[in-house]
Amino acid sequence: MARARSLWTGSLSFGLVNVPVSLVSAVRDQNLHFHQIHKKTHERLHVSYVCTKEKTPVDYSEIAHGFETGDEYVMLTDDELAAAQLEKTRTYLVAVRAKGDLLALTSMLFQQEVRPTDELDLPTRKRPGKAKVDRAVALVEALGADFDHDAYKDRYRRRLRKLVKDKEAGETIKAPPAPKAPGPPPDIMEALKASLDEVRAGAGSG
Amino acid sequence: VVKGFEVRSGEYVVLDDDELKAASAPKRKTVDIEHFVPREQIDPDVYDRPYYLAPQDGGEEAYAVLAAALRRTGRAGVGRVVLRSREQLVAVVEADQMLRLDTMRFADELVDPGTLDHPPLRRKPDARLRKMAAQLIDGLSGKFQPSRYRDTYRDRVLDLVKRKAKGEEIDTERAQAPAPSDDLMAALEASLKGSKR
Repeated sequence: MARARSLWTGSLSFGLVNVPVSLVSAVRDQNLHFHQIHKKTHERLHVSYVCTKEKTPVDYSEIAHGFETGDEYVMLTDDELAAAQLEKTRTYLVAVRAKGDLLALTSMLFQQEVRPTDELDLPTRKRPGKAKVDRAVALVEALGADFDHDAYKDRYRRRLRKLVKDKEAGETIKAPPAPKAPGPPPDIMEALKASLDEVRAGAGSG
Repeated sequence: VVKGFEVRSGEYVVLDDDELKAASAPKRKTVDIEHFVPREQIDPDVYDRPYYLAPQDGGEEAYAVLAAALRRTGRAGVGRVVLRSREQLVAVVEADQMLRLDTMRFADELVDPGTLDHPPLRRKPDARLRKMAAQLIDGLSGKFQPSRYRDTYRDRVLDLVKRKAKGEEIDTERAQAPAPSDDLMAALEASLKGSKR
């Protein structure tokens, strides 16, 4: 497996203490990547930027960042954008934690980036009945388990890989019918009771 | 335009949108919760994107009941849902009487810390240094208040746009990392004095 490369080196500072550190992503891309292909010719496509005035492709080096102010653009270069903060790209709000012997840095959302719940169109809240909540708590606990992250496999990725294999072997692939969402339970108490019975019966026999 | 997966260099298997949907294979439009786990057992690195779940007509009561039960048990429902034709691992948690759905990464998407290249760590740092660092952390500790942190990058870019629009010259000098603390003990001591004031 390829060793992870650091994407930033700098210093962790608190008080007057500076700890030199490098930043390595804790996430790796496991997605299957597709290329865009022209249906007719089966050849690859490439992205090109076309000037709306000259109608000709524009070289990457000639692209600037324009910020729209009314009907005009203010043009900024990469260097000018970089000067807007201490580091290139942008400033993140982060939390630093100990994880085993290592320090883990997790980027966080700024409060302004989190949508306030009052912007949502919500129905008026109902206070749930205590008996129903008790029943739901019993069900939650009956379905309780320790979090075992490794136990959840990415089935989508597995199916996608199989799909590519099947297609390569010349098999016909059919799309599944469109899914439907089930309606709300007519009687939540009944639904909770039935679920609990089912979970308990399952636990007893297994 | 269709999607091509490179099986060998220059050789593509072409899939159209309908065929790609076959990989998602959703039987129902549901978030299928498999287990309810203690929330604190999920490491923050596992979370990817947060979403609100809003109750639909006729589902208000069931929604409120589940939110209350998750709140009382301190548990998160872990399950799967197909979003944008991709099956995702998700956690359903209660926050402020609402249900939130957090998409999660699969275990193999997280880098094993054992594969990192770094100089060997000294197992046990000096006891006095550790004690002082702990004191310094205590001195700088406080309750987490999200509103105290502003995204100043956005402000600075907007300021930059304004200055540029006025025809100002922009200074493009880059920041440099500060030097490491040569004498850790002295740095800790000086910081402690500063934080106590």
